[in-house]
Amino acid sequence: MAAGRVLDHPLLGPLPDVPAVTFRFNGQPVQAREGETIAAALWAAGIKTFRYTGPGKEPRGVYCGIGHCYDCRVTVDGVPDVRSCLEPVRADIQVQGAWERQGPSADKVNGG
Amino acid sequence: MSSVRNHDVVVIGGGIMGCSAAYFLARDGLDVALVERAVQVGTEASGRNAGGIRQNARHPAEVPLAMASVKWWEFFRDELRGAFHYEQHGNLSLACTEEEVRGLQQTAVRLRSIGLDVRHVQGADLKELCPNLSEMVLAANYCPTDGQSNPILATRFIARCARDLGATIYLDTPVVGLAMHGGQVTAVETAHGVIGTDAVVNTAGPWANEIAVMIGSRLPILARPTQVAVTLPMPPVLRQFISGNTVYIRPTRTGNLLVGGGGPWDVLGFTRENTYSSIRRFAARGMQILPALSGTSMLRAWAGILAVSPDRVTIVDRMPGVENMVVATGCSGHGFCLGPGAGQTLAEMVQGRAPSTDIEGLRLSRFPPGLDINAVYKTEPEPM
Amino acid sequence: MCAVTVCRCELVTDEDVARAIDDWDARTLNEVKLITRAGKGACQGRCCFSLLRAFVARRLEIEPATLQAPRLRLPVRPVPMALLAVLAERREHE
Repeated sequence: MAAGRVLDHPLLGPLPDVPAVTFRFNGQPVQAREGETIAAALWAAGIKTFRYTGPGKEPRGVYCGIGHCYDCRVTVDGVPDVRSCLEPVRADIQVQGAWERQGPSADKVNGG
Repeated sequence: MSSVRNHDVVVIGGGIMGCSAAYFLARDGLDVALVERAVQVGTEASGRNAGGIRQNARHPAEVPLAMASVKWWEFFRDELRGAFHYEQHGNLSLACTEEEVRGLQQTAVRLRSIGLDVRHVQGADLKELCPNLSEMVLAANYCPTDGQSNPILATRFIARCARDLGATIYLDTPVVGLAMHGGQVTAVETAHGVIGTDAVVNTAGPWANEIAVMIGSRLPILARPTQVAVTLPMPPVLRQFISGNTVYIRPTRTGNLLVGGGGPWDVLGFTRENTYSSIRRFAARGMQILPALSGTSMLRAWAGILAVSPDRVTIVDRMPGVENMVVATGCSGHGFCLGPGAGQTLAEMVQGRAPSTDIEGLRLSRFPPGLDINAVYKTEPEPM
Repeated sequence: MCAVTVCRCELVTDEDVARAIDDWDARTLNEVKLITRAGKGACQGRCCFSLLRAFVARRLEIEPATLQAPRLRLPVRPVPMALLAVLAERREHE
């Protein structure tokens, strides 16, 4: 649970004790701190790629971090397109991130 | 343009009909001018529709034109190598009640008699074709050669082909008047100058009546807005363009789904605004036939303006009251596919040749004289 | 020199935008959007329009301020289809 977290901030002080919360990401259990966002919990668990996009299957996770870009979107308990950088964790939620789009590559503009 | 130019033919309106007409006229060696008032071609209905290229689910009078058009669409894609995302994965027209099933069966028989490859499917056959339809869908008419494209790129591509063949395209150029002499149009007056001409093609969509009025004539069309919405990308759940339960849904190559139709149908006029009632209705009616839509969100909606005719069937004909003007309008929300076929027909009529496609059911003479289209739509707010 | 991503949502690069301008006569941000899909993704151009404006203005040699951002459309944020359907159902029973 400590990986990637700031445990003692020079100005904000030590991280307070809060209850642990467990949820699932793509079926895997993830430990989180009560009150933090899904994105923060995933980062702390070492998960930076939340989904894939586009013909090149590029990884996507947090980008703007402020609910603006929708790169970090996940499905939470069946509700699609939730911004994980804003959504607080709750116990036992099922979070789904990655899906791989099949089909032909999307042509952009070409000379035709 | 300089203040006076001359072209053999002037095409008014740069939608899919106008760009196609310009293409076929240029291909026949005429010096054609396409006059478009917006900043680019295809900015109105031709660039706002869902891109369906279908022969299915049409009034039989339109089917010959649709079939001819599909051959041209294939030509533009395959011979001229147009990259406008034209794919032919099929079209399914759905029945959700027993009455609709009977209607589809009759329609399939009728369309097959005209030569269209359309099949009535139910049960396991339908499930295999389209596995994610809900139980509400009882049957479908399936046309395998139907498909979809990106209408913005398609319209621009055809315009460019016309230009490559010598057509002149005047953008930002509204038509303000038509000069007549001896029963013929002799010039098109635009905001930037006058074009002397021998013939005019009126493909101004819902504005085609404004053009008709300039020569003291009238066209029985009304402007009606229609709305479309798109979802965020999702895993593939649909392969064909489907319509039923008052909505249509089609997949895109980027994984987004387009949803449209559904009303409100009592709104008329030149408006391109979206309404909450429509976007709610797309979601509700769409999910009733394709429950997998619950896995995604609506991303954006937009609207376009249709030209509706009294019987919601396209009009292709010579303009009454003048010798040298032809018109295509009134497509009532299903005109995009018909563009190339109509363009070819318009070019033929301009040159005094009999149309090679059967358009007899599309002529203006089918309407009783003195028909008041405003009365038609006051009494019939049906879904399209 | 590899292409620079301008629109992350739709994977549109500066080369795509250049082609829209050079080959397809795009002269406005709306046209660039229609042709390349830049700005049609999940963020609806929130992240890319400033980049597009700078790039297109430079390429067309015009002032960036003369390029208008395309219209924002309903809904202003993605809304789950299931939620819209529930709202529709509630309205129909009112």
